Amino acid sequence: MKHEAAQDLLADFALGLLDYQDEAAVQAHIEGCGDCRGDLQLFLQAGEALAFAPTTVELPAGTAVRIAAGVRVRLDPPHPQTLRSNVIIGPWRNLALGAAAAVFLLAVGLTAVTMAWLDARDEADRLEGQLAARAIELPLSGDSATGTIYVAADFTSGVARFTGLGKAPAQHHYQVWSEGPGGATSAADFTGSEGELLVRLPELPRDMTRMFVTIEPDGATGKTPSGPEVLSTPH
Amino acid sequence: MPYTETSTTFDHNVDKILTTPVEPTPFERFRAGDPSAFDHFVAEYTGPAYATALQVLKVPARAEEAVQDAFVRLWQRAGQFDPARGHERSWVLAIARNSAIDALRKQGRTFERSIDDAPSVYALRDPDDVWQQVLEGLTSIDVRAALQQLPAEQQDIVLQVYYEGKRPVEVARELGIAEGTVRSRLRLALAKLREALGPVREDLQS
Repeated sequence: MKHEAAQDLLADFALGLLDYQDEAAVQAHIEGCGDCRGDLQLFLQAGEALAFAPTTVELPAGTAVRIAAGVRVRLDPPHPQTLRSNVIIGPWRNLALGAAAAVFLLAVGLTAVTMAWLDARDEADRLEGQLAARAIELPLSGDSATGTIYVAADFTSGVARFTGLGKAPAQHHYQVWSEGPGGATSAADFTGSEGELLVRLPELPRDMTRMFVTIEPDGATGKTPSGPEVLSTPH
Repeated sequence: MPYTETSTTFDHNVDKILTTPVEPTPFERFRAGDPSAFDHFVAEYTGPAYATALQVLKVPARAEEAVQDAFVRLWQRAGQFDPARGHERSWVLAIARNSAIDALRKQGRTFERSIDDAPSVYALRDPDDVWQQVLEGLTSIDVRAALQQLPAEQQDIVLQVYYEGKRPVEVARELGIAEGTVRSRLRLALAKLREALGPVREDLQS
């Protein structure tokens, strides 16, 4: 790139406005041109100063907490889950392990263990059966997790399957919301886990237009979403 | 270049700045290996970063998401920060702006990559302790006053390019002027802005 052409593009280069080709050409020129490198400093410094211009705004209520929780959940590695009471569980393996632990700790007989395992498997089977029977599949996407919501043909209930969601941050939980013309209503809440997780959605509004998952502080009312969204179906 | 000529009065108290003991900031502590300082860093910069993102995105919920994204980037890229080459606050706010602009681009405008992927601009920044001291004392009022000194057509270009993330070709199309004119106004605006905010290093040395 000629010197004059590089000079014309220095300000754009400083603010990151160039496409790959121009950027690479300007950079190659600057590395061999002391004048351009010197002039570039002024533009870089002006760009730095512009970052100071926005005036402070008062954060809306709860914003700082949601941002901190959202950042933390994206940075923390996933942990093993502790399920909340109204959540239906995931893999059979965990259920079998849970049943085995029950045997060890409670010293019940093999029959009881087998029955517990079968009960758990029945529940998982029932959910898996529901998955197969769902009429509509709604994909969920987020930064680090994915999922699918399987909705019944009459739109009144469903099952959500999550993968890679991880455990909710301390003193927080996940909440599934169904959104319609009247706003968002809670469909389920859970603490999350590694691997795959199934959650029953016993009641869904018929006029639902979107479903999403937020991170909510424990003790929140559950009436309206207040935390950051981590997963959403397409709008 | 004309804008490197002798500039405004330098009224920053350099002696005071250089002799005052400085506590490490949460970001410095984080960079030094204290992960627990990151939460303090987030708390310290949430407000300014949110203001920056809101300036670009206009919608509070989207600004919130962009700020989260910015802090994740800052966690990942903290090691790239070089205090000799950049000022902590401007670096943090630049990343908040970049996250917001990326969110805008995802919204519908079709750019080919994240603005933060621009690879080596930062590495080409020369250490400049004088400018670092200027930034230490710089306020929103100072920058806004300097912006207001610019001719209206230059202000407009800066606002559209810097705070709305538009490329010169887009601005040119919207304003019905040549792309070269947009670039020229941007160059002049940045040069005047820089001149208005503090002396250039060569001026002090001479």
